[in-house]
Amino acid sequence: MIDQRSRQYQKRRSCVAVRLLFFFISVGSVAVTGCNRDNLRGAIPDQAVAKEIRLTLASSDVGPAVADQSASQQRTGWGTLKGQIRVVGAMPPDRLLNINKDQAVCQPGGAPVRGETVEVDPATGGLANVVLYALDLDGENVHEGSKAGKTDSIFYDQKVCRYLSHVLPMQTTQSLEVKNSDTVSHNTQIQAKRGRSINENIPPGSSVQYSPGKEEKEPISVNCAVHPWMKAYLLPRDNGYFVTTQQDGSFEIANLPAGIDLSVQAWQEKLGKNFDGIKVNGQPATWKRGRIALNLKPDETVMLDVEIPASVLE
Amino acid sequence: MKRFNKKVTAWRGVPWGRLRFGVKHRILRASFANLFWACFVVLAGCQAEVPYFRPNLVEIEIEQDAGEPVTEAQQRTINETMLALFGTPDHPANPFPQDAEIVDATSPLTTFGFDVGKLKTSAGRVYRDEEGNQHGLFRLHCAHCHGVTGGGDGPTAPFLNPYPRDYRQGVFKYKSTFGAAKPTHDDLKRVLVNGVAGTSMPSFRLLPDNEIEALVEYVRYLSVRGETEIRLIEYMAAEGEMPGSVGEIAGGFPLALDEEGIPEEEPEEENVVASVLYQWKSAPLQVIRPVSSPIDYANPDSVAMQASIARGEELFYSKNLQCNSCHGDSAQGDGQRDKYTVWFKWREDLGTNNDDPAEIDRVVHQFMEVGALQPRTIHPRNLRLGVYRGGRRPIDVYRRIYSGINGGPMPAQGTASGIGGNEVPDGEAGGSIRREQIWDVVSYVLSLPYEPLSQGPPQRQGSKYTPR
Repeated sequence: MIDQRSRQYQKRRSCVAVRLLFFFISVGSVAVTGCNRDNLRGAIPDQAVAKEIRLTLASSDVGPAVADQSASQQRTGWGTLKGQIRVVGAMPPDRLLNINKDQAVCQPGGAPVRGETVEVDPATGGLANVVLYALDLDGENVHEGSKAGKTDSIFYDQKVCRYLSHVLPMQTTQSLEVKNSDTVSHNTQIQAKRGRSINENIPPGSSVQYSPGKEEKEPISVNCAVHPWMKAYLLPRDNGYFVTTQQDGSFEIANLPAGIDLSVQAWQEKLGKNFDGIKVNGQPATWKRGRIALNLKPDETVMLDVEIPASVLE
Repeated sequence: MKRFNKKVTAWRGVPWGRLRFGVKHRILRASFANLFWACFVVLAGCQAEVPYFRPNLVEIEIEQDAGEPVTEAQQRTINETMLALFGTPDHPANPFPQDAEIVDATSPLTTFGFDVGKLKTSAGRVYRDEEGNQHGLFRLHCAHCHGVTGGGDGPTAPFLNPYPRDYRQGVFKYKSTFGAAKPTHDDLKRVLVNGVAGTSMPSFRLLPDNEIEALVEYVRYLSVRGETEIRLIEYMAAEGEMPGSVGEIAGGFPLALDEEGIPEEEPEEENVVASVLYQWKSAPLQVIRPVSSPIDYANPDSVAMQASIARGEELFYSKNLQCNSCHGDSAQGDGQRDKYTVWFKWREDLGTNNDDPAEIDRVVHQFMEVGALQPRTIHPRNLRLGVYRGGRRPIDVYRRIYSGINGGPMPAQGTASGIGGNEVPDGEAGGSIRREQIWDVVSYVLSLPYEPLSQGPPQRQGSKYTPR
């Protein structure tokens, strides 16, 4: 009997050895790493680099300077940027808004109300409410007409529970007269990232003054807590180099500095700054975070014909 | 192999039954002991983890979704800068190292950021020193809900309603300052001492005063740290580089303060830390001082109070205020529940451009993968319960109505020009109603829980076992 058993054991010897080997390898690997892995650790900072940064600070040095991107270029004159932004292909109509409050005022006659996210002109295919603005221009590179410092008040109205200017760029020194022309209260909440935020109730017929204070890098949202479907955008900038496309998608920024590298930022409500792959003048263009690089010649008018396929906007 | 085989067969060749008494048990005990320690090592791992701050991956995800990705190398740069400026949960640091030659100890006009002594009491591991002082206060009292990083994402957070505060946005709801201003030191201390009624935030009234002060300082430290990180991430996502050299980011100190401790000048944009601290230091300028109340809240049964309540009810439902549109026609908070707070602005933005529930679900899961909590809409307060999160004193309710609630949809009925109270004439103050009328709304709101409608169904009259 012992002979039979030992023969069976002899046969299974190698399987046991291999199994034991696998067991120790798996236990060993899990033992080294442990079961509690934090996948929210992010990019683990290098302790040595951090220590060096701290020592730099402690010695009151300014630290390694960030490379100055703007090479010393001379402005040679003024140019103009014109163009049109069109949507190619059939666009479905904008989404229906859910009017669940104050229907008598916000939905007179019970007609369905649509959003204004993508406004395509049926005649020309033009895309309205795309805001284009020039980045990093100041001092003598800014034309007289577009200099910072305009202090007039812009009339900003809301009627039938809609903001009448859906995307509005403005200068930081200008002020908005936010009016409520409805017979119900609206509270206009402007959420700024760097400037002043407000969230004030505006009784029917009255208005509230708002001044942004600081320029923003991208449009900030304007909405109403009482009527949650109301939404608009505001873009405070220091200088006057901004424009929103018209109903037919056309735009023009005049008196841009010529001879220096320009960066023009585009922003659309649905796309945000994501313009990658959009063709300009029929050719694929390099959009970097919605920015397009230009260098105008004096008195030159650069035409940009931007075509956005409808599939991108859906 | 042969030797191995011999051992194995020799071991297995020993029949259990024939062992000496006790050996079998010793062998079994030893095996179980080995198994236990093996499990322990497996589950714990061989590395000792030093506590660390988690980066704000939700903010990075927001930027990524907006078409501005932050690469891993850029994230590492940000994390290294944060580590150098603010230290670790065990060893917090003042962003700008205090150079003894720059600090003039006798001059009241300089400040560098935080009181590191208080930070050291709150930070680090939990222990009591020889004199009996408690250390590691934040980890002992706060981190399980608010998280080690102060992101409101501690282990208990997903089970709480409402979620614990995320300090990193620098937005606080229950404060005495107007609009988007930061809370004052007293506001934070009040929240710690009183707790927040109706939420899971308890009162820490029983802690000694120096411990509460240490915790307030640490909360401010975590908030400044979080806001600095968010600004760096936003700048990096938009421009692809840091806002300035490290010296510039941490620079702008010392902030020149006047006699009352208010900064005189706003720092430059590249002095990120100083800009954030400037907002904290200038918060006392934005404190809402109420106008004198025409009614005496110590006499709730007086005729003047009843008249005030009647006026307040009219104002509550008036077109000017329209409180019922969100708080509901019965003031039970059922008027409108579609909005999200600023801590879920990513979910709010998602909803405005998307109708497809499958797409919304996918993006929500994408955000929860990087540490966001399940988004919840914000519910307007049920005013008939008598539970007021920001405080139940009349002045607290006045401030909620005057300034709204920062971070949420509740709007302000007053304006920034009227916060001076009695010193500002009515004409200059503006607002949707006169400030005296706000007191009438306060009376009405405070009287709501005592109305018959709020009392609930009639009480049981008792039974033979519980006679009344």
